[in-house]
Amino acid sequence: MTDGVVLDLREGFFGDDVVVRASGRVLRLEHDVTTRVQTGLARSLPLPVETGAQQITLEVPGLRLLEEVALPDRRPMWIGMSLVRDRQQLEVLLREEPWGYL
Amino acid sequence: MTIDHTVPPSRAADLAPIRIDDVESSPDDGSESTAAAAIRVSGLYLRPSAGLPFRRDELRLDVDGRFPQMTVSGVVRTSLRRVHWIASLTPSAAATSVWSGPIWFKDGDALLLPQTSAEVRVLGGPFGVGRKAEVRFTGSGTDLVHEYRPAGPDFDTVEFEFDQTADANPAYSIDLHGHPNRPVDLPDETMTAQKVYQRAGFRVRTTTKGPLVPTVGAGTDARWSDTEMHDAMQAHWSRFADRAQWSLWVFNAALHEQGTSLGGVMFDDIGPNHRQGTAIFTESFIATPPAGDPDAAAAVARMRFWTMCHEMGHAFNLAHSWQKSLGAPVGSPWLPLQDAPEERSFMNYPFRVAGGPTAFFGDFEYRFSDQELLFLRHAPRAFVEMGNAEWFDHHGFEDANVSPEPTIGLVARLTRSSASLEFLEPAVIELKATNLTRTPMVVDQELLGDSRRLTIVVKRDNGTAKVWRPFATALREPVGQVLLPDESMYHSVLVGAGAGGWTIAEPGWYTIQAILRLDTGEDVVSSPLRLRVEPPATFEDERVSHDLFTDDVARTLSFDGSRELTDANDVLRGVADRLPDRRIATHAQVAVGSPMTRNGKILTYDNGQEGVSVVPARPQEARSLLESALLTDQDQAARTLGHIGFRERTEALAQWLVGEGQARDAHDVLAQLGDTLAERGVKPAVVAEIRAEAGRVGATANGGAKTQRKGGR
Repeated sequence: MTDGVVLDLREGFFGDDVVVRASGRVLRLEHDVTTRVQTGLARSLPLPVETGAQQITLEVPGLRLLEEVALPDRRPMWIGMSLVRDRQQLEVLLREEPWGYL
Repeated sequence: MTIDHTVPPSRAADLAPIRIDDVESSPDDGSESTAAAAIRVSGLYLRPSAGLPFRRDELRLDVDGRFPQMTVSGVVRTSLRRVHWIASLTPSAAATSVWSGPIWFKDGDALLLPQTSAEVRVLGGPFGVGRKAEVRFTGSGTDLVHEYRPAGPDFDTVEFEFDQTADANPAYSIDLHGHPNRPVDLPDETMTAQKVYQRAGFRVRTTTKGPLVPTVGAGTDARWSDTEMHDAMQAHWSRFADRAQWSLWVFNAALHEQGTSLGGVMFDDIGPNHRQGTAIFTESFIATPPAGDPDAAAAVARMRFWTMCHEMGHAFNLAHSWQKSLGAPVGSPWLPLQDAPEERSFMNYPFRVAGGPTAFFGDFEYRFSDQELLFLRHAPRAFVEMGNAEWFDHHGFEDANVSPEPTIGLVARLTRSSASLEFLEPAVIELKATNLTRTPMVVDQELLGDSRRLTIVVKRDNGTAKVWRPFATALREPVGQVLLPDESMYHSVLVGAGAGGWTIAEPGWYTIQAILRLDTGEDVVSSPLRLRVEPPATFEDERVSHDLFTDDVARTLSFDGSRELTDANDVLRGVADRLPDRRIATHAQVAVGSPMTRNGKILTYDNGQEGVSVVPARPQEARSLLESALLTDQDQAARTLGHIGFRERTEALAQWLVGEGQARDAHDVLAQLGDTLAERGVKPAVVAEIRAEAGRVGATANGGAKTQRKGGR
């Protein structure tokens, strides 16, 4: 179980690139992200973020989608990122416990 | 017969293996009264197919019993054609046991059943004595009457086999009144997975299982990967076979390698036969009851049982309730479906609905939704049957809108006399679109390369059809091209590999068919192209295949090279070195050599810093590889790359040589290209074009005017 921050790339991904930044620094650069539809999860990624509140930028450059997320100072924290509305919109959720997948 | 599903303690030193006798589950789960069973008419009916003494036309009538869908469906067959049809039904006001309604779905040869409505009349006494179903098809042409005899009260028979590890705690059954949070009218009964699917319309058999699955199969971490589960399925499932069958393996284990966040998965989404295996991870998050739950043990048992039925639903090709509308590129729903995120179904997550598990289970009747039951009972059986349609395909189908007088003719072909590919040889086909009208037409010059208009389906004999998808899709402004009457345009496709994997790899016969959607809405369908992949010639071939048939190698070949996918490049170099005379070597040398002809950029990511790095050209090595691929045996190169691909790459080589100051060599390359294609019967106009370019390049070599490159990519 993590005590940091985990990013779940969830629904709607299909061969996409995903970029995660904080303070202008690239935390993660993921290629060919594809959702496994029978579970609703593509990848689960620990993020090397510092402690404390900060801004995280989540981007799907191939679809020109970008979302700024205000990460609170509480840990652990899970960020769920999905492509919704026919992959035209990014949906970002935050919670303090992990998601379950079936 | 009573089935004992008692689960022994998971930590006992001397665990007794669970034994489930090989029983034929009664189609009646015991909840239906004798009187109701006597008059129930829903079920499967059969009649002899026309001209096929050993085949039967099917009828599935669904108007009473559990969760009736007021639907009838069937299959009509002749020796060469078949059509699956579905109609909605409304009871007749004038007569009992008569229903009628419109036919709203056809899959297959719709001309075999042009009628648009169906009326069903069931005749005969109670308990099926003397019973028959008469179906009158009307509308659009002559009325047609078919008579069917009852085959049973269920729509299909399916087989389940349950296995577990010693450290798993499955819930094969639950007491529906075991937890206080439930619908007030929920019957007080014991629910099993068998009952769930019986009520969905299946006759369920539970096959005999053997001893516990050893946890050593999960490796030293005692957590199961998908590969390990596949291995376990092959080793322990008594019904395992590389074919479609109405049979399913259900595996209860402790944890997946993903950890506690994965409660279960239909893991069988690789290989030629999907959806034959499911797994439930009983010690994952589903073993943690909701905070403050009034009966934690019952909540956990319920969730384990629910998860098992959920994963089994995926094996029947059911999607999650919130994914039903997902179309291309992810999947293809069989009908225009609507997402149902609040649905009380086995296919929804209890924790996704408003109010969470408390709201879900307070309103859940241990059933599937009507939309899901419609699919399970009435969709073309190949969409549902395990090992048949690929996972998430036809969770669709769309009839091609073919005109009886097409304006364009489409041909998929090989540019070789024999439709035979060597093992390991990537399959390249050419598409040809011809103006069949008597007037010139304007079409987009990239019509055949537009993946939004073009669909290519590849099917190995006895396998499932796969839709070939390119790795890249371009968004560009259309450029018009005039096609005169009888004039054609051409395009080359590496149909053997694409996004989603290799479509042509294993030995055997394949059928390829292309469908082109025109701006007018007309669909143009090519005749099926048949080709055969030969068996491996040597043991080396088989060894190489494990490394060759990967996604990265497919990408590298598709894009004629990669500076980033170094492992794929290593594989292709190795193939070219070890199998220099084989056709795969031609493809490998082109893919490895092409990027070396010029400097190229790659993105880098180092200590959180993005950057761009330049990979320098390697001209000597490039020339050696490309000349070996394209000039040593030009006939082989043309055969395996296709005429278009061979021409493009050879002209690119010539152009590069010109840029390297080697115009004389470039002239020789082009001259040789023209001769080779002429010998292979390529159109004289094309040959003339190449020879003209050779002449221009030759003049440059002799100090003439600069050439203007024609053709190429």
